[in-house]
Amino acid sequence: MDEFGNKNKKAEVIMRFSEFEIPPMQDVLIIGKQAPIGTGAIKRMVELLSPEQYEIVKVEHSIIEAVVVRKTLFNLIPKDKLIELVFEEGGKIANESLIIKAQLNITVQVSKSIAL
Amino acid sequence: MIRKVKDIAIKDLVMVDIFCPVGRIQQMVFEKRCNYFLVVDDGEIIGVLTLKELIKTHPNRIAVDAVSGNYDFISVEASFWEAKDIMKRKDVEILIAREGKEIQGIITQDIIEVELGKHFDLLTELYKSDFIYFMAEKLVKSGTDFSVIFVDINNFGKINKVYGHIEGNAILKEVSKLLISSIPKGTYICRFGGDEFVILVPLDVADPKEIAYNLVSIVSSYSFHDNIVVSISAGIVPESLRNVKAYIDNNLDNIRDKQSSKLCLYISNIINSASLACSKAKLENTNVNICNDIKCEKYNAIV
Repeated sequence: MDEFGNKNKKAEVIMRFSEFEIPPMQDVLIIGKQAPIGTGAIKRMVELLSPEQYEIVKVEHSIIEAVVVRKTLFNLIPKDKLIELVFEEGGKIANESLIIKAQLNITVQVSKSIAL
Repeated sequence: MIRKVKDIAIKDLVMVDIFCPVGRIQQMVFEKRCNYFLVVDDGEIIGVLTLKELIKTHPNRIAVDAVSGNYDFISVEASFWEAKDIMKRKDVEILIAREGKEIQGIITQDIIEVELGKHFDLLTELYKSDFIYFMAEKLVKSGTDFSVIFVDINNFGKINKVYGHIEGNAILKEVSKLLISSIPKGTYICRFGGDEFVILVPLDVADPKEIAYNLVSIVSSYSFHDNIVVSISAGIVPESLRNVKAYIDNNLDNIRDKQSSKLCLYISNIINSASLACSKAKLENTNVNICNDIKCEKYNAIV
């Protein structure tokens, strides 16, 4: 405060830069039935930002509207099994009004014996 | 007169683009005093947004994510019975009424319920005569031969005079229940007038004569309250529709728009003949009378 009683105002600016993730999602999105963004909007977003890279699977579920999955994951795990797995674990934390982002690290391990 | 879709459709519709935010549409409900919104994508209809969907959807969503898509199309010239039929058969809640490709309005389940109320007889719990006209039209258009049985309670006026109208109504109710429980599945019944009922029997379902004699016997042997003696008479028109079918085969494209009222007149003729046959059965004390006077040529003559 100066001699006349006036306040000094200061602003502190903190800047953080990082690369924009395209698309702003990873391997899987679980869309709640009352989420602020619906399947139609998500579909258009992924089609514009990452054409042909994601598949939207509409589901019959009490709180989940659809699951968006990176298509390449289906090369590693069959679609039905992957969706079932996402439901099993994601369903525990999913909420009607939320969109949950999931990252899947899949390692396929193959062990073979061959006759010598 | 059977009311058409164009007579009962909601016409104040607002079109919104698929990207329109739900919050904006919610505002429009108040601004435009509209409860139904057609969601379009490049001029093509995606669905209809109702208040129900608008209330339960997050306002940030876009229209395409709120619309249920649970709808179908119907011609404005179709009858409201047809609209009810389509809604039930296709399990849809909304029908978009159009004339050619032009949207004229929508029909909701609520509208159908209200309209049904006007065609439902609370005393006998049966539909009124419009229902039979619609079903007969439907059978004619599908080329199904059918017969009409006209049923009348004998001396019903006397029952009213001797026992009073309240008792008379109770008898009507009992007779109606007997008829409903006795007619075979696949046949249709309505309360045509005061103490008159009309039964429509598709000929591939049952034999109308057998039904008529059976009903007469069931009502005669039934113990009505206060031991009031009740009997019925029946008039049958065992109509063959071969000529009508041939006519329709040649004129199918026009039948709905141009010939529907004439078809209605034809059905009236059949019902009227059945009614006269019923009166004859009463006069001759034969319980059942079969009329063979009405010919399909009459239909061709009036078209």
